[in-house]
Amino acid sequence: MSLKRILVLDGVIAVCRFQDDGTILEGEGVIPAEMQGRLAQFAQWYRRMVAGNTDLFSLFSQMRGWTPAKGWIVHGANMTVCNVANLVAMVDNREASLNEIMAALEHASHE
Amino acid sequence: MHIAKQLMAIPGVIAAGEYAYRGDRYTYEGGLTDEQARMASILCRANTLNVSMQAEMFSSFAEHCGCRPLQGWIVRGKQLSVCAVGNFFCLLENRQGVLNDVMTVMRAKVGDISDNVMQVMYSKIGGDVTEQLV
Amino acid sequence: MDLAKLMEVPGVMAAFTYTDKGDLTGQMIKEGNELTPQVLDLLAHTCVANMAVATMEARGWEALTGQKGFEPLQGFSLVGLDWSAVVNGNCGVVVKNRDADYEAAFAAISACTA
Repeated sequence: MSLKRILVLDGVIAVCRFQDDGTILEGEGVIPAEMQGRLAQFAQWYRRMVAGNTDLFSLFSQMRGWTPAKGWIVHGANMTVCNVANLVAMVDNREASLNEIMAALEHASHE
Repeated sequence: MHIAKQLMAIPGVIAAGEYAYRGDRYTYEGGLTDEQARMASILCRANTLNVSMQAEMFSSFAEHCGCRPLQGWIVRGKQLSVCAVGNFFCLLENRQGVLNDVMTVMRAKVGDISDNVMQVMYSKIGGDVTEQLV
Repeated sequence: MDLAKLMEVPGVMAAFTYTDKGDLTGQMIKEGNELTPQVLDLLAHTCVANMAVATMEARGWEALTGQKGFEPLQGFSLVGLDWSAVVNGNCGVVVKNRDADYEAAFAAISACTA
């Protein structure tokens, strides 16, 4: 799925695909390219951190089904950022359907 | 002498060891069972991952803050502490002077971590460093 | 903080409340799953840590880029392999990914925190 197909979903401001070191591979959206690059880098840093925390939680809880972590959502006052695998989307809360966007990211992450 | 052996020579040190990026590779000396050492290795890896990412994020907002590249971390418990420098870890009692001695040895022997700490940890197990950073 | 209301969220396996430090203060767990108060206490601590760093990022991002809209954060979700945790303030739920309705979960925990 091309990133454009995620960008056209209601409320999506930007969507980026990034490498394992956080470098942006491709980005689409209405924010400047420099901000897209920064978004990708932050998303990857945060993803690694959440994954590390989840590994620890899984280790001590001994509960299956948490790791490897798929992604995260940070729900802001007016905007939300969500990540699945190496994709990150920035969305406007007023227009976006978070469920639809998470499903699209999950779908795109398998391609 | 191996760093873990040197750390074990300090009175108050309970265990010391080395862990790789993947939590399942480790070597250690001291009073831990193999399973405890495996858990300590996973814990140190996750904590290093955490603190390293936080240092990266923080420094992107506050450039030249001096917090990166990350050198290590210390968690001070009530009676015990854990510290990690690079890919070495140490479990110790909170007795007067022990932590300072441990940190002195670790900083001197492990040396300055000049690159991305995750890549340093990865280089210990070989392979394509950039590829495996997930 | 009405845990029974949180239990109505689609796909929910457990609802819980916790202190600002992450200590568990209350929980309701649907029968037939592996969640226990001890597991929820660990999960709450993890979520508090993730939320604290998300706040740091949101604040830094707004300062650096001038783009507003994140602060104050309204929640955080950890999307695990099969389960997701959705938290905000001092409330949280664990939901099955298969049945997860993130919007409903965020709305419910915001109402719980208010």
